[in-house]
Amino acid sequence: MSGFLALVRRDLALSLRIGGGASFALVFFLMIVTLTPFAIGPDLNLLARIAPAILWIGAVLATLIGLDRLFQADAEDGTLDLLKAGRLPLEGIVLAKCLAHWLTTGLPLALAAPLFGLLLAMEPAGMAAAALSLLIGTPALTFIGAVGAALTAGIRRGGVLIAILALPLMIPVLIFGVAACNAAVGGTIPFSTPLAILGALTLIFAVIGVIGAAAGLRQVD
Amino acid sequence: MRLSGGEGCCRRLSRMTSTLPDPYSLTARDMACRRNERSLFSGLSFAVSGGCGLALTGPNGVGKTSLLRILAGLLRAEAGTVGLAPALPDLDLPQRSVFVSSRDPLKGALTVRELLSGWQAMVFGGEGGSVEGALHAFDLAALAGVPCAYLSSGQRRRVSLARLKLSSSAHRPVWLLDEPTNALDAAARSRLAAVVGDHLANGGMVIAATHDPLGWPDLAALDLGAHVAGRQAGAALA
Repeated sequence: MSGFLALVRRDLALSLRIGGGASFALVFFLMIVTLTPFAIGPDLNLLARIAPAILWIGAVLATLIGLDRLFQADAEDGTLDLLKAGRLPLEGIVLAKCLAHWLTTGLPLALAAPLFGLLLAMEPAGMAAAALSLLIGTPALTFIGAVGAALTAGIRRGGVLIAILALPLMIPVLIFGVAACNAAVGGTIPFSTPLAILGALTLIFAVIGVIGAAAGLRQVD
Repeated sequence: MRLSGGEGCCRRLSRMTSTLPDPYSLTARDMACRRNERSLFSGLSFAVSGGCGLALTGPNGVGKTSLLRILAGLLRAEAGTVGLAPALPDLDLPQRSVFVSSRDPLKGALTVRELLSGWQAMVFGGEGGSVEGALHAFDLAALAGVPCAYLSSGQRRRVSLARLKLSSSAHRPVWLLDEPTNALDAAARSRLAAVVGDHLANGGMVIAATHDPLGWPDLAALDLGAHVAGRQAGAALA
């Protein structure tokens, strides 16, 4: 357990220091959200209607930004070999790295969503729903991406390949995330239904992603 | 072919057995390795006992690093078995050995002390070696607060080797070193020799791939060039 926490702490320190890239995802998210109103024009009703979709597409793309280095940096410099020699099983290593990744990408995105919702003319209820759905749904994005990151850890410039591998699996998360936001501001289904499915997706991908990424890392030699 | 160290090694072993009841031994039988559809070596058997070292030599690309990675449990051999006696429950070769590859697993943003404490917590948790001891053994105390990005290649190599002192000979008796003296100056080489000497005196084993004479005592030699697959497959066990 102490090894798990030490790995989480190390990854957090590495991404928060200069050159670590913790802020890349947030800045990328901000760029997508600020560009959209300029592209759409002064139609506040339209903007408010598509705001959940923009926030969620931004979150999916921003999560992909740092994923290519999730395991690749450690595979390149030999740290992965060293970690494999410890008592922590590969599944534990993957879970620790995913946790650190989510704390520096998914969590800031969810916390910033209400603020960015202002730029998209969202209602207060919509902003709260967006933040809550991102909080519950973004871990699934990290776990799905981890499988792609593990499979491409031995390849240089594997970022595009990760997107191709991971994006199709992220679509259900995107659908139910946006559905939850829309349900909060109207519609026929209760808010809790898509949110519960989103939570189920996160739990399922937490298991599949960790086991799948560990299996992928075993092939890296 | 069977190697069990020179005469000096046996002397050390007999002295050692008086204090340690169960000496370690590493046995590899009929090892074969294939990388990217190319056979490297085959029919390779050797044994190393506690207190002994083995120097792997041979031309570039003959499979020295691959053999070390197989022994470290990081690479699957095409054929053959590796056994470490006495076995411990739940712990396999990766957890019983320290593999220092030719790559230095340093993170530029972390200081030397942060890096070593991280290795201690993540990999060698509770095995007895202290960070201060590891810093001292490779003369890194003055660099402890320096981020790894600012280190020279010899200093990086010393930090990389310092993990040897984070493990204990009892937990990880097998040390696998890939070109350990690369980029090291004379003082650092003698420090490494002292650390390796301590390990051997505690009943550990060292297997080092090298092109230079290491100058360590009790070092048997294994020339992988004589085991190139297809050339001498039958003669290997003579």
